[in-house]
Amino acid sequence: MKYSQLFQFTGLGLQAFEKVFLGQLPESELDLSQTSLVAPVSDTSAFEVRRFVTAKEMASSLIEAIKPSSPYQLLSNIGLWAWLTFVLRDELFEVNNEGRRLVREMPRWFPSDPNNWQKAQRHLVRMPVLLLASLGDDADHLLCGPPGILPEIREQLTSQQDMFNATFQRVARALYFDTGRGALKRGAGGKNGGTPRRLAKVRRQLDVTWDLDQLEFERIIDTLPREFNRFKPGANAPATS
Amino acid sequence: MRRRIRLTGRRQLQRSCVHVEIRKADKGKKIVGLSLAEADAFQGFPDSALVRLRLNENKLSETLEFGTIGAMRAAAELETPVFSAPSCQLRIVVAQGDRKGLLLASTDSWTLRTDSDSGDNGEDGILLFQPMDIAPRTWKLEVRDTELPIVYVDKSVPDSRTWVRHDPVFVSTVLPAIIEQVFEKIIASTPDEVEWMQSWLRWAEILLPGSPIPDVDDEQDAKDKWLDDLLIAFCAKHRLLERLIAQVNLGRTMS
Repeated sequence: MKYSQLFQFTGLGLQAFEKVFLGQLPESELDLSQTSLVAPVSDTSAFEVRRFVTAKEMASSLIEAIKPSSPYQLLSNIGLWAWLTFVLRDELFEVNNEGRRLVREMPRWFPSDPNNWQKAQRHLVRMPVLLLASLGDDADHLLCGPPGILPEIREQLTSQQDMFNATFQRVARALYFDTGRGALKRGAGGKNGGTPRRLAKVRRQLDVTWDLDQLEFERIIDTLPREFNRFKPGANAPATS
Repeated sequence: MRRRIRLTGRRQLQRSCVHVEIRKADKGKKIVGLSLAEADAFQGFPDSALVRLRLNENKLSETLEFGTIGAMRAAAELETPVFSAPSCQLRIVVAQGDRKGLLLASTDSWTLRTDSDSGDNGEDGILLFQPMDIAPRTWKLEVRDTELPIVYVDKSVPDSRTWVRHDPVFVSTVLPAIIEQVFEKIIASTPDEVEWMQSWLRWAEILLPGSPIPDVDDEQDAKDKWLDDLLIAFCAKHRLLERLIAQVNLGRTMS
């Protein structure tokens, strides 16, 4: 399906969207041609819903469609992100044998207020767009999975406000992303030493000693404790799964 | 007297050592101005050390460069146009050599307002207020990661900063709801790790002495009861019901 530009749900449309995802209204009842439910978003371009292999691919396509606007300006447009979630639902949420869509917890599909730091990062459409727009390829480790998956690494490495830092994410990419395979290294989703969960804590310690922006990311990697050795570039560790 | 000891030698700067303000420039651009409030604030640092201001808000991050200690720049352009009240930290950093990137000094973080009438040194207690375009909403609470909660009031409300502090209707009806929302977040979090939450807990201790906040794992009933007790104590202490009734009666008299 191709749209000539991006759209947003109106207040009424948002209510219907929520009911659909809560299973209280059939998807077919949400008619996107009704102007009472949907309105165009000005200064946006065409967008085609298709199969996206990775969240990065989806985000890239959306960033193009958002032009000439900017994702930052549209961050608070709940109606837009909800509309995108709805039109992308087949890419994001599986349907089980009983025909029921598996949408899981609400923050994944209903765009929380962007200021809600505990929930906003979980949205499956808005967050990948923001990450790619802010970090570019340095967000590869956060966006290399299918768009419908919210990986542990994204939860861990976007949970704090000042993690949206290119240098820090470049370090994380070097540690956990296998460039050759375009996928995460084995063990990167775990909870043991050297995993993203630990990196998030170590970052806080480093931040009171160093200005991470000023350091080459290789030097930051050298500074990391031994527990990260198995993920460091060139390590023999569990490089691939 | 308590002293902070830092093994790295990093010096703690007071945020009051600098004036920081955001000004609107042409074509919707914003300029951040920085000047020394205390002439000797940066004494002892090498001339080549970098003066940087780190801003974070809503998952957006930007670091502004203000030159070096020896050649400070007074202003830097903000590239992130959507900042409204970013958290802000001043950092002095080694620019070159083996110790490049070492943090020589920093302030605690504070909230930098983008509205023109705020300045940056005003003390607002534990809750910030800022006019913003949020119509048709009248107010909106934002509970943030590392910075004090902020209440946005639509910019069309005249003199909103005074209004929220003194209007009996706002204070008696909206403020308790704000307090409730903030403490719901605190109860569901790990407040020991968050500075602003510690400030809010100290405030609660004054209202409910000897009644510590419930643990995140406690029964929901216990959490509800504690929060209810807190709101009762707050409303009683400030006689909010009496103030509201007086205001309602005043409105009736005048109409």
